[in-house]
Formats: sequence, C-alpha cells, structure tokens
Amino acid sequence: MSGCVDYCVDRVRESSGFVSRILAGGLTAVVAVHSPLKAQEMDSAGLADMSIEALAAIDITSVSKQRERLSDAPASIYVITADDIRHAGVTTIPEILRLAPNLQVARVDSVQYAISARGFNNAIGNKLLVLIDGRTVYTPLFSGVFWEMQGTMIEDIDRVEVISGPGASLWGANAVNGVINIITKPASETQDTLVSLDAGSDERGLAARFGGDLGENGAYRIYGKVRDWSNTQPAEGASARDEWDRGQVGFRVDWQDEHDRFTVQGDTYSGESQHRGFVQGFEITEVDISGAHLLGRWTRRFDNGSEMRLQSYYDYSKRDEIIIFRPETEIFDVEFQHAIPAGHHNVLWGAGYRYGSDRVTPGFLATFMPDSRDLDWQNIFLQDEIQVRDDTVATLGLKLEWNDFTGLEYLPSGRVAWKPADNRLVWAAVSRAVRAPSRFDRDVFSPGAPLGPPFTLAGGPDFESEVANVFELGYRAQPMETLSFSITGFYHDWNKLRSGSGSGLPMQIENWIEGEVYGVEAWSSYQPADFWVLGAGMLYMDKNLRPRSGSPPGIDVDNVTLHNDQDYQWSLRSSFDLPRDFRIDLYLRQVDELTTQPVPGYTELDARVAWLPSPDVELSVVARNLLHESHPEFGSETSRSEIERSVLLALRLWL
Amino acid sequence: MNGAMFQVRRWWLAAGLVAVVLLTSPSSVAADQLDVEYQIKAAFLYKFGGYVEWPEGSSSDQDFTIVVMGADLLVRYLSEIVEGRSVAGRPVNIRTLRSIDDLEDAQVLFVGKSAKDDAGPILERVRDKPVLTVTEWDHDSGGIINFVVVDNKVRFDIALSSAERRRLKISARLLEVARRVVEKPS
Repeated sequence: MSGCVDYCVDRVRESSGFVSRILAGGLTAVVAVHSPLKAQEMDSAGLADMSIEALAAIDITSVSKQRERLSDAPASIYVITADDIRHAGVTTIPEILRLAPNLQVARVDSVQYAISARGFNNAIGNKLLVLIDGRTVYTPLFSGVFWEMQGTMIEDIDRVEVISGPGASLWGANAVNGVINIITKPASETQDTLVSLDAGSDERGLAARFGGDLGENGAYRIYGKVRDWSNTQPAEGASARDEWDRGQVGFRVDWQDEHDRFTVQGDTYSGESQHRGFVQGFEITEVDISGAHLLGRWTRRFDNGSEMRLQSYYDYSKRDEIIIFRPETEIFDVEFQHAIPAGHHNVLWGAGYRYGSDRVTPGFLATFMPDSRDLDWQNIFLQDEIQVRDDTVATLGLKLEWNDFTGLEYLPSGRVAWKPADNRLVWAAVSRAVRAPSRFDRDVFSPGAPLGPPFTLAGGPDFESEVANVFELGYRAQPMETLSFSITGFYHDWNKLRSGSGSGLPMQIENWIEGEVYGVEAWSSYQPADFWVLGAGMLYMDKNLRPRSGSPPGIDVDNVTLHNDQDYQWSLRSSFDLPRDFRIDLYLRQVDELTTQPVPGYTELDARVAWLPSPDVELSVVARNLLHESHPEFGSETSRSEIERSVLLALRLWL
Repeated sequence: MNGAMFQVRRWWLAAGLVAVVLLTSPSSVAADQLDVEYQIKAAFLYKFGGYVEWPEGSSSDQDFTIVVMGADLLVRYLSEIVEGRSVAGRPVNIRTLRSIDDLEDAQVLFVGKSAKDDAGPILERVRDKPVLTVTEWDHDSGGIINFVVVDNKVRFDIALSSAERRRLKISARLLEVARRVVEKPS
C-alpha cells in the first residue's frame, strides 16, 4: 500500500486498434484481425475449426501477405499464442503476460501486479495501453490497470500481442511504453463445450463455455467462471489478508456474410477480498469490485477493395477499497477506421470519441476534488504505408488528440522496414509519444477522509503531459527453418516526467524531471528436434533521470514510481512433446533486483506436465516457483507479500 | 551510469548486431502461398470425412484412415490438424503410401501433383472400393474430388457418379460448396 499514493494516474486516450494495423496498415490488416481469416496465428488447427464454406472463401494471397506482414512489422512485437498460454498452465491475465520477454511483471500479492514495459514500473503503471478485444481496460482516473478486475475465459484467448514502445500514431496518448492487445477467438472457433477445473495450494477455479451456430452465418458462445485465491505470506508475521474470490459471465456473438461482419460481446464480473481487520481503530473492510461491458463492432468490405470498421462500447466498473480511494466509472467510446489500398500506398485513417464519467468516494489515503467529473476525448489519425522500393516500406503516421486538460496533443511517427532477404528484416522507428494528465495528476489530495485536510500531497492544477521522443532500431531473422530471433535497441528521451514540487506542503504533482531510458530487448526460438522447442528472452535497460533546468530545489529523482526497475531480466523455456500424449514444459527466469524500493533479484522455475488420455481430456500438474519456498517480487520490505512455491492440478474436458 | 560507460555499452551492442547480421546466411524460405494452399487442403481433407457416408461394414470400428501419396507438406499439416480430433467419433490416422497394402483400410486417398505419373495402378486398385479419392491434378483423374485453385481460392470439383459407383454418399452441403458437380460417368 505504501506506493499507492504515488500511483500514476492517467486519463487514457485509447483508440482501439490491432497490431496488424500498425504493422501493415491498410486493408489486409483490418481484415486479418476481425474476420476469421487472421493470418499470422492461423495455423492448420485453426483452419480445421472453420466451416467448409469459410474454407472455400479464403483468399490465399491475402492470407500469405498477412503472415509476411506480421513478420515484417517495424516494431518490437512479441506474440503470446494460445498454445503458449495452454502449455504454461497459467490461469490469469497477468501470469500470461509474464511470458512476454519485453514486459516487466512483478506480483505484488495474491491478485495485484505491477506491470510495465521499458521502465517506470509501479503498482499502477500509467504508460501502458491494455486492450481486450479493442476495449481499453483501466479506469480513466489513471491509466493504471487493476489487474484483478480484468478477466476472460483464458482458453478462449487466441493470442496476446505485446508491443513494447510507443503505439505509433494509431493508439494515441498513454500508449507510450507499450500496448498489450488481448484478442479472443471468434465464436466460430469455440463451438464445442469446454469445462475446465483446477485446484491447488494457492487457488481453485472452475470455468465452462458453451458455443453453437446461429443459422448459417453466425455463431455464439457463452461462458462463466469462478476462481478463488488463498492469501500470501509476508516475510515475517501473520499472513496478508488478501484472500480473494471472483466470478465472471460473458458472451460473444459473430455474424457475417459476403461484405459485412458483426460482433457483439459483453461480460459482467464481481469479486471481493476478505475483510482486512482493524488498524488503530479504523475498520479495513474488504475490497469489492464489480463491472460490466457491452461492445459492438461492424466491419464492411467494399467492392473497390477498401474496408471500414465501426466500433462502440460501454464499460462500467466500480472498486470499493477503503484504504486508497473508491472510484466508480463509466466509459462510452466510439471509433471508426477506414483502410484504403491505393497502388504503392496503403492508407488508414480514422476518428474516435470517448466520454468518461466518474464518481470517487474518498478512502483513507486519497480523495479527489472535485469528487465527480465528466471528461471527453476526441482524436483523428492518418497513416500511410508506402512501398518505397521492392524491399523497403516506409510508414508515416500522425494522430491528433484533444483532451479536457491540455487540449491538443500531436503524435507523429515514422517507421521504415527494409528486407535485404526473404528471411531478414531491419527496421527503424522514430516517434513522439505523450502521457496526458489524468484526474489523479490534477485532482488528487492526500490523505483522504477522515484523516485530512490538511493535505500533504495535492494534484497540480498545471500538470502537463509527459513527453517522450523515442528512437528504435530492430532486426529480425530466421536463418534456418528451426531458428528465429528478434532484437531491438531502444532509446526514450523523456521530458516533463511527473515529480513533486520540491518543498512546501502540500507537495504538488508537477513535471520537473527529465531523462533517458535505453536498452535492448531480444528473444529467440529454436527447435533442435521434432519434439523439442526452446525459447529464450532477454531485457536489458538503464536510465538517467535528473531535475529539469529551472526546477525548484529538492526535486527527488529517486522516487519509487519512476526509478524502481530492474536492470535486466532473462528467461528460458523448454517444451518436450513426449510419446503417449505427454507434454512437459519448463520455464526458468531471472529478474534483477529493484533498488529504490529494494527487492532482491530472484531466479525461479515453473514446470508443467500434461497428459491427454483421450483427445477430449487433458490432465495437468503445474508446479510454480520451485526453486525457493517463497520470494518477494515487489513492495516495501516491511509490508510486502512473498510469492510461495505452489502446485496446481488441472482438468480440461471437451464435451 | 555516466555517459562514458553508456558509449562503451552502445559500441558493444552495435558490434553484436553487426556480428549477427554477418553470421546469418540466407536460406530458402517456404513459399508462404504454398503453405497456405496446403493447409487449406489439409483442413478440407480432414473435414470431408464428416460430409461423406461410407457403406456399412467398411472397417468402421477402426481408426479413420487417410492415405497420402506424393504430398509431404500435406502429411505434415494433416498430422497437425488431427491431433486430438476425431472423425465420426473415430480417431484419425494419417499414412504416407509406401505400398499398395496401405490402401487396405483407407477411407480417404489423396494423390498429390508429384505422384501423378505413378498413380495409375493405385487408383485402379481402389476404382470400385469405398475409398474417397481426392486429387489436385489439372485433368480428370477418375477420382471423386479434385482440388483446383481458382481466383486465389482453394475449390474442388466432385464427380458424383464416381462416388455412387463406390457406394459413397456425399452430403448435399458438400455438393453446394463444390465449384462443379459432374454427374455423368467419366
């Protein structure tokens, strides 16, 4: 809890987009994401789930172009596939994200996580844009994600695209350090009945999904899931009171014909922690969360080859947590895009509008003034992907955004991809990225009720956007059919980073820090034999931060939200496909220490053994954090939880 | 870390990148379009089993067997697909044709482009047997289903009389998806 007042809060301006848009821009990209014809991750198995009518309609060249394009992407993207998720035996979204070598994932307690890319990790990170099927998942109060509030049927996730670096001009402000795109399978690919249950030393869960046809052109699915977590232990003392349980129900309907595709999806969830006792006479009640959303999307392909997409959603969420503050938020979002292929150009343009309304009840540590606010955001963008030469593609883009705090923000970006040979790609990118102010930066006051006023911390009325100029250079190659790798060097030049005001009470939130963050991300995959696949990943980074010229005295650069990142991390994965339908997966990782809020570095190993006694039954045992009885990943020494060695037994049935 | 050290690290990174570029050599990359084409054909082959009825007693208690001749890429994709799946409740077995005996319990036979010239005796052998013969030739094979790539899509033609002669019943839905259905005996 100690870092919670320093949460970076962002009003997240998100215009939903999918990776392929950035990468390929234009028509085929939009097609790839929203139709069942998602090329890159579509393998033989995915094709076998399609109807014969759909199979007969697949355009071979556009599909193969898709695949080419994803691997030609001028960006640092790591794709976590459905297979990766299944073989890692993970049960929640944050644990899925651990599989991406370009993400920093630190578990805070039973359900909370600190997740970031390219630095500035803290319990509620604000520089990462996270989307589930095109819907942004955080409260507009701060771009931080409450990870325990995000869930979906894990088995129905088709892939997670993790882009580290600015989300180009397509995603807008706040996608500064990265974009995480969680994409679920279309309903036509989940038409069987699936029941999944697991139980272990740390958690238990049950999930079921039913699907079916809706006439000749449609399909639907509906799912329900529940899970509970037992509490974690601090290094010394009584266990943390972080037992949790959570349930969610959701659905998805898809319908398509020759020109149009429609999708409607939604879910609702609720969850709560255990009662957290009494501290100095104050009752610390349980944390209570709930929410729901409804999303609709329409894609239409025109005879002239262009394609348009219109999407809208409504999202409601509420988090009742007496210690920090208690927001209730509603979001309404509409966005439109149009892809136009034109000779050597592939143009993509679009516009979006978002309305957010919140009501915040004070908690002990913070309150907001005004306690309720309606905000809106508008944006338009344009991107052109130009085939400059046979082997070179240049992508230029610009997004303009208006927000209620700073008015107009502009986000240009330029990328170039050069393919010296079929199996090698060099890319470079220059972008200007912005993290616009949120309610937290401007309206927060601490402590909250009933402890304050007087206040020790206050939002700054003149808080401006944090700005980064980002330079990236990457190389991707597949020297043999069995070996591929990717390496990216990055340099972020930051200005106007969030800081205090130096002195005086209350301390105001201002923008007095500047600096650079730089490093290398790399990963590789190698298949030494038919039955054996190896994967490796590595992240190295460092930063220089300092007060800006003209800053008041006393600006502290070593604050926990800015300067608490590891210097490096690496991971190794090994998967064995054994005879008699056995499969073994091993995952070894090492994360360097955190220094500002010290946490020792650690090395850990997860292992999973799975057996398919029949094609419709999968039994598995997942053992996690095998090397030590427990280890901490985040938080202050006096109050943090440790993550224990655990085991989980899981059963999946396809009926 | 101070500026000077950063310079040193930067050099190391650049050198590493250069080394990597120099050491990798170009290799032939699978033609993507061919991959897609065969993946779609493999998906069809797997699915055909659900749209065709074999006569009673044709080894329905054993695995559903697909025999492939002259198409290694197809075997690979078919094997990926059938893992954990079944056709008409039976697990699926993919076999590469090595001798005529492999045809004994086959429900489906696929003869690829590269086996066109050697396929004669094989096709003769199953001429009147309840085996769904599938080809991808540009001329009439005497088989039941023939794949053609038309307009960048994988389509197929069905020779209905060929199926009837072997007592195989083809579902109306499959006939509808076919590009052409030929009724007269070939």
